[in-house]
Amino acid sequence: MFDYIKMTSFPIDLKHKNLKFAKALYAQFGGPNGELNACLRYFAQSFTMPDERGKRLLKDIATEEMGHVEMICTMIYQLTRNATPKELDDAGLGCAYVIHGDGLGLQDCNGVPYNTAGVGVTADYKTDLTEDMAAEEKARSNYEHLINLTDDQDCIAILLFLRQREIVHYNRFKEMLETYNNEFKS
Amino acid sequence: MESFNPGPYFFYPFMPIHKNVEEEKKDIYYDELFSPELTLLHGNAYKNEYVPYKNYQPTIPFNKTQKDKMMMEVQMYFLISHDLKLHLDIHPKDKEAYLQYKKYAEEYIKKFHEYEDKYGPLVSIKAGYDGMFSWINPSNV
Repeated sequence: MFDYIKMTSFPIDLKHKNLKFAKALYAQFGGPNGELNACLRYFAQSFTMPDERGKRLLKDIATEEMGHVEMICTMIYQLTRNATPKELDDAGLGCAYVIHGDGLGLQDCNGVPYNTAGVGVTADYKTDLTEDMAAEEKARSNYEHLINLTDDQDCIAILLFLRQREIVHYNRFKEMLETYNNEFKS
Repeated sequence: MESFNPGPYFFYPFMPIHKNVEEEKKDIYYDELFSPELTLLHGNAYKNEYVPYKNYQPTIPFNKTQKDKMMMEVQMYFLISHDLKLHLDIHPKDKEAYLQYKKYAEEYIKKFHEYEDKYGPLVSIKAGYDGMFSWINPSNV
């Protein structure tokens, strides 16, 4: 089960409105390489890992990714706080405002609704762990693109942290795959 | 006289080919942890895993008040024990990592309680301790 801890993984306290960048950040919320997709991918795959090590690793990382979903949502919320409908419209969030108001719609940066079509669950540890490694790399490059898009030093600090976490997860998945490959010669 | 160095891909029949995986990992990871504070700053516990992006320097810009600083301590001890946990999931027999994990996890619990005693519960199960339902106290998240 999950129990909520009332804190974020990294301190977040953004004071200034930045609607354009908030729109871009939706990519990491409901986008194909976003945190939500990562979380559900590892969670679903964890049940058919070959042994307890893989199950624990995937569940632990899935749990951490859920915390990253919270971080991205906190950023979007703080960056769009107190925005007027006109300001939202000017930043390209007009349609999002019509449908979701000030709320955080489950969508990517273009307003495409969140979907899990890109999530592969195959019960084959080689396939699943290789997909997880690719997912982490895709998320890492998305974070790098987000960093390139902004000059806001506070946002960059948070995104650098999230980018480094993707690198750590990639290394763990790679290690797990290598460990299994050494043990199960098939 | 310099000896001939064949490089890593040269097959050298007198060397043992199979290495003990656990021992090799220990060589890489032993005693190369960031301090808890630097772990939160960089975003990872093992020094050799840090990969900088371009010329960007990692910073933690949000540590103004005493409350922020205490929260940051909770976050840094959580992250370092979490990173060790991910490593131990794969290498549960790594004794050195286990001892480090135990040390930092205990510190995390200590800091967690210190924060809760001062600023209210972080988990809902503790919300009844001070005579009212303090779970709904304001927070950033």
